[in-house]
Amino acid sequence: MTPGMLLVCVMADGQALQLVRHASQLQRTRAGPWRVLHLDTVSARYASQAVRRDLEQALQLARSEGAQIVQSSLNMHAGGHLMTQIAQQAQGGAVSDVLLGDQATGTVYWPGFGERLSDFTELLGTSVPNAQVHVLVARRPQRSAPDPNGAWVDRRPTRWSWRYWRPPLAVLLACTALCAAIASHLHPINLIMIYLVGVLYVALVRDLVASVVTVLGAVLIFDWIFVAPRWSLKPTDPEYFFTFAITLCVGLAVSRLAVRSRTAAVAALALADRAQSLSLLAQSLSTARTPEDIGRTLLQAVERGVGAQGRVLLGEVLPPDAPLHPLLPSPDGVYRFGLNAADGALGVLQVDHLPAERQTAEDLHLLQALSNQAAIALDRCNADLRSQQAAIQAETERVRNTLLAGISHDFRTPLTAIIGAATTVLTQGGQITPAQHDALLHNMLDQAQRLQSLTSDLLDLARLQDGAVRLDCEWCPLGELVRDALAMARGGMGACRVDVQVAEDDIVWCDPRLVTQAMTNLLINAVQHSPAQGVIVVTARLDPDDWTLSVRDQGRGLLPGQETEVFRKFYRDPTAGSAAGTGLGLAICEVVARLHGGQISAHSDAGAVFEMRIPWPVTEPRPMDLPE
Amino acid sequence: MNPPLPLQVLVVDDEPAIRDLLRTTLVAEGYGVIEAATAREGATLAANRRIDLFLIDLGLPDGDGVALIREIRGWTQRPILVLSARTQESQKVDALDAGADDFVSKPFGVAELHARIRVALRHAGTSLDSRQAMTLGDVSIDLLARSVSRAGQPIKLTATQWRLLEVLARHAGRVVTGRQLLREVWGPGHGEQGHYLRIYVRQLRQKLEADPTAPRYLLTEMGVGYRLLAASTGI
Repeated sequence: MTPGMLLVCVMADGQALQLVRHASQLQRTRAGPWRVLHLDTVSARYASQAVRRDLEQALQLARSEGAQIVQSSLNMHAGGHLMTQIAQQAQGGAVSDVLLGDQATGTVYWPGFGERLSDFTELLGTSVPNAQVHVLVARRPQRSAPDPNGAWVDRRPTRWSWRYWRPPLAVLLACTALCAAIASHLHPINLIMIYLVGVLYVALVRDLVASVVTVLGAVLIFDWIFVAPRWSLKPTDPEYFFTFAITLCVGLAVSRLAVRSRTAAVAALALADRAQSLSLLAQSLSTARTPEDIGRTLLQAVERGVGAQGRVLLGEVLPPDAPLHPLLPSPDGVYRFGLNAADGALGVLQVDHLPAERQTAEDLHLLQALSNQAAIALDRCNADLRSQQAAIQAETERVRNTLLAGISHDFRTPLTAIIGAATTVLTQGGQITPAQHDALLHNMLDQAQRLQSLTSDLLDLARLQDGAVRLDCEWCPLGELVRDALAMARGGMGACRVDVQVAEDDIVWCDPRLVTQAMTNLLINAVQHSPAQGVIVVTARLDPDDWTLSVRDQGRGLLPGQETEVFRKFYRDPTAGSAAGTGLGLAICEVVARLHGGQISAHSDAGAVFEMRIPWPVTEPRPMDLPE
Repeated sequence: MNPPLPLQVLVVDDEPAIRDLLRTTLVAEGYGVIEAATAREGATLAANRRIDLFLIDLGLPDGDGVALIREIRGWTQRPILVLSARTQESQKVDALDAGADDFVSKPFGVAELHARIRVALRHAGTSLDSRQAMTLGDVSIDLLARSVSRAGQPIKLTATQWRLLEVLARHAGRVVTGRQLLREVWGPGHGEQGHYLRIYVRQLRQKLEADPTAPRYLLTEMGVGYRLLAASTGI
């Protein structure tokens, strides 16, 4: 058995080359294809030179080893996004193995999916049930491969944890040790500079509070240890107070600047991420076809952008007093954004549980921007719909015109004959023989009867199709239905013989008038397509779910494609010539079957066979033995 | 001595062409014809003239033909025939329930019209309850003794079958609507039974007809009801 596809997930995390090398080694013993899924993250753009080179080399190697390379964008906020991407890829091809690095499985990419590697592997195992998941442990320890995201991504410890205060304490200890080592060589004033460098580091890795505490600690330790008199906070030289003040000011300024620059970097990344959210949404919307698709895409973008679940309420309008986001926060914590197009509101995006840290002006701006994009897509979708409706209307109009043309032609022919015969009798009555006179009158009667059947068929069909006819069902002896139909069709039976193979005692549930009429039409149709003295066979079959009436003639059967065409209004068999009827009879049968919740079909089997299938009622009990 | 006055027929129809046709054919058969184009005119004429038979179209411009029938039925038992299009089944049933004796579907052949008129006039003289016996071929029905027999052999009917036959026999020759049958056979609360009427009629046919698959006496009036054609009626 050939192995399935090997899927290797790489990203800018310093582990890409290792993964690809490992995979290419695996490939030597495997025969199956392999694919490298390159997950493009925003942070990749801010990754170090070494990490980027690592990724480039990895992709180059993969390409040269004959791997298929797939690009995919990955957002770092959205929980489980990586998992989704892998799962999608895995489902696309028959993936049997997934290889990824433990760097990628850091908590950064799936908050809420468990922090431990085993959790991730297990979860991935359930979303890609047929694949084996291999996680490659980075060769270098985590610390020596600096996480490019660690600088800003929100995984810093809280202020009350031991980890938070570790850098300030370490810095103070290190600075003090260094100062103690070199105190004999330098003037004490210079030693405070060493502490300032330490403060700068703390400001870079921690926030303002930590760096302020570090500054104060530095000044106190400096005063206590290095300023004479030693082991006392009160300096002999009051000039040192000036030094302390300057140090404090410089330390605070440095802290502020460092924190601000880091905040700016985070903001820039966040901005880039939002831009990516928007461009991804635009990309997905270009393939969305229905309003539901658009809503789903928008919700995915909302989850990806702000990590919150939303709802799209199509067709709803924002209340007039709704707060105008992002200018005003929502009083009830539910954020609503109008999906507004040029010609009015199309719906509302509602985000019920926006995380508190996401209720910033930027995030609300992002939500509004996403909503606007979705609104444009909805508008386009509606325009498509309108043009489709216009096309349908034009088609309906065309069909109606065809119908009218058919009707007027069908009416005109007998009318012409009647008018001709009547005028002949009136104006030339003296010049024709009594036999001719009678023939003309009979002709008039025939044509009038043809008009009569045409109008009643048309009226029946119109009433049936308008829904004006309410089914009046009852239990009917099948034999009687067939006999009634035969009686109604008798005038048009000619020399054909009808062989009724119906059990007299069978009882069926239907509207007797409509079913008799449909049966009559089927019989007349069969006669019209039968050879002279042909036999028409009427059979009925009672099944557990429905009952079927079939009428079989000995004509030449249906041409290919006629099986559905025959039920169309005014459809006439082109080979039948003048024997053809009104072209409405079978259309009526079709409507009757449909009204009963059943169906009618036609096929050829040494002649045409029409089968009308009507389901049994759900609620009506079958009168098996009616009390006499 | 004056010749006997011809039977007077009141024709209520808004179509002049139909009135012309009816007048021509009725006069040719020896009837006297009075014409009305509207329901109101018809009601006035019906109240002021001696009329032997009414021919009323259901689609009148100024009102419901059914209402006119109900009004006429309020004071006379003379036969009323309804002219109706084939597609007006529900109106036809309403008219019969309102007291019309029979109907002629448009478009109709003249022969059929005259046959219906003759049947209606023949039955007009007999009161429904005075009928005591009738025969359907070799089946004789005794309404007083509540017995049915074929060539002297008694036929056993269930209570329901007998009531059904009785109602049809009392209206022999005329159409009885399904609704009327249900009401008279099963009473006002007939709801469920309505679905079985055809089955009871079939049972009755199997007992009365020589060939139940080709009934000659108990006839179905498609979409309206049933008609019992009696060969002879005893009074």
